[in-house]
Amino acid sequence: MTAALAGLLGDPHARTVLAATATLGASCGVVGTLLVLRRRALLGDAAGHATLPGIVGAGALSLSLGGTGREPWVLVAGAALGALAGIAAVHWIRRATRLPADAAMAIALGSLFGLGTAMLSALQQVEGGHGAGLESLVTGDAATLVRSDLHVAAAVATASVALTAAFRHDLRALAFDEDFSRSVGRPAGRLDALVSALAVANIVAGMRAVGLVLSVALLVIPAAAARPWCRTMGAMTALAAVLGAAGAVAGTVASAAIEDAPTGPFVVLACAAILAASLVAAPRARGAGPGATA
Amino acid sequence: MSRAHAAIDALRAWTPEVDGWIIAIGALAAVACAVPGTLLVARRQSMAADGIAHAVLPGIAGAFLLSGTRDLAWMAGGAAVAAVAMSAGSAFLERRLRVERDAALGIAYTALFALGLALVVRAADGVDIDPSCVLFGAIEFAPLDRVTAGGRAVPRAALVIAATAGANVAVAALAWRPILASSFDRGFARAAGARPAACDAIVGAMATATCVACFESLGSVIVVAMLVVPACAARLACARLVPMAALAAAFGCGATVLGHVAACVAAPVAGLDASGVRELSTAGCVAAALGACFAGAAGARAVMSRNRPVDGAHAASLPCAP
Repeated sequence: MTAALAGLLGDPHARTVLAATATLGASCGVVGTLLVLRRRALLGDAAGHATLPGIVGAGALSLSLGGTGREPWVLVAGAALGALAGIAAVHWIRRATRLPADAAMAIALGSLFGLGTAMLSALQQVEGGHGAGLESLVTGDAATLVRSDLHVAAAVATASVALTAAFRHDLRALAFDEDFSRSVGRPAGRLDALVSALAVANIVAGMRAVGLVLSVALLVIPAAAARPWCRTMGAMTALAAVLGAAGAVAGTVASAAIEDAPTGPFVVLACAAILAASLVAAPRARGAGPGATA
Repeated sequence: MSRAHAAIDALRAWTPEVDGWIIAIGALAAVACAVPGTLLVARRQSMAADGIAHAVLPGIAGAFLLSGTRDLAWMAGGAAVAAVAMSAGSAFLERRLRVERDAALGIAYTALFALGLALVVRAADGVDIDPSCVLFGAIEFAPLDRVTAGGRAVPRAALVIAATAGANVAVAALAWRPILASSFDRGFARAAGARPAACDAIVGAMATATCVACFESLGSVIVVAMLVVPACAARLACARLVPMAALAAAFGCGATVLGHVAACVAAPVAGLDASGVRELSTAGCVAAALGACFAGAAGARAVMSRNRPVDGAHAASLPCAP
């Protein structure tokens, strides 16, 4: 792998790809820590799957207006709308039916992904539609990343870090003691909306690299791997960012070494390997780590 | 009017040998999913359906790579190993990392699903397994793969799913009292001599078998919709498990018919046939129909009963009586 890595670093395109995936991995580690500590880990899964109808709808709209159906900004906007619709659907189902949160997420995830599947099957039949280009978004293909993707990743990472740092006290209080946070008048609803929005931004920015089906893994696994080593939320955030970047780079390099391999699965497997190593090496029962009492 | 005519023509082109079997397979899948789906929802393990549906993939792909066949015994064995690995792994992560159950489950099944996708890519040079089919399902091709049963050529998928549905009903009937007790009150179940953990394993095994039987036709993500959505819709109307399962099966059958009709008529109705679109993915349309029917039911319920919870935080505490 060292030789492959050296070869990759010599190539400007490969440098862009690696920089973009590392940035995304770090950014996902930061936001994933928030999701895990706030116990909203699987909301990212619902949002990730719900991007599919948004992406396909945006592609179809662009095609019908004479575009190519694959403009990056159009697809990103569609994906973000789809993910927000998925989160809104989860909230609506919970309010309207009082079903448990996991049932609401499973309903939104399955139905919206199904809708996306149906729409994708239509788009793929349109003459000159090149629906196949959208299919790589499902499992990810980091080789398609270009310079503008690096800029998007950098912008999302900056926003994630800046907002997390700016609201760290409120977010920490919400994650560890929601009743206290509410009693001192912190806006729990708006803080949750902020966490959801950051998760959506990271999922959308990462969909070309790791794909939308597995985007939740890049959010959750680095945070989980950082967990046993840290006593504070700040330390956990920093370590999760490092582990996320390492996993994303290792997975990208591994998938580049295999012909036709989608990037997403290999990034997730690399992150899972990091988690396994962390669990083997980590000290047991360090007392009150983040969320230990929750 | 011409669009309506085109839609009617699309439905007139249905043949019992293809469309009849597609609907039959979907309806059988709805019945097979109703039993474990209802039990998972009642046990508050809806996301376990998601986990199992994703986690069986490496088992199936690994069995295919090892054996080189699509023999059902190999696939079911591989899927069983993967499902056990998923539940053991997520229980371990939950304990060791002290994270919530959802996060542990999310880690375990995404890691296994990633392994499955990587294996499928390795196996894709062979025949029969293809990543997009795994994700999106290919019920349209299910009627083509026939085996002879009772002197008739019957689609293999129909036979397999029907056998799974029968097995699910039989197992649920045999272990009914412990399953019922442990679904609602684990402490009582334990005191009465039932073993809640064993019941979890039985329900998990039913869900695993159902996912293996259905995944070729419905795809791994849409199986989740078929397991969870009908059961939740039925939960809105009744609290007792047996009527809930029956209603879930009926709901799933209805959505299957609606979904296949939508798959056939959507293109002519929307005027897309001019740009070369013929039929949409039936599995996707069935999942979308499930979601639409659920939204209708939930909306109707919200309008009828105005007793909304004041605080979203308490919304999870839905009482679920046996």
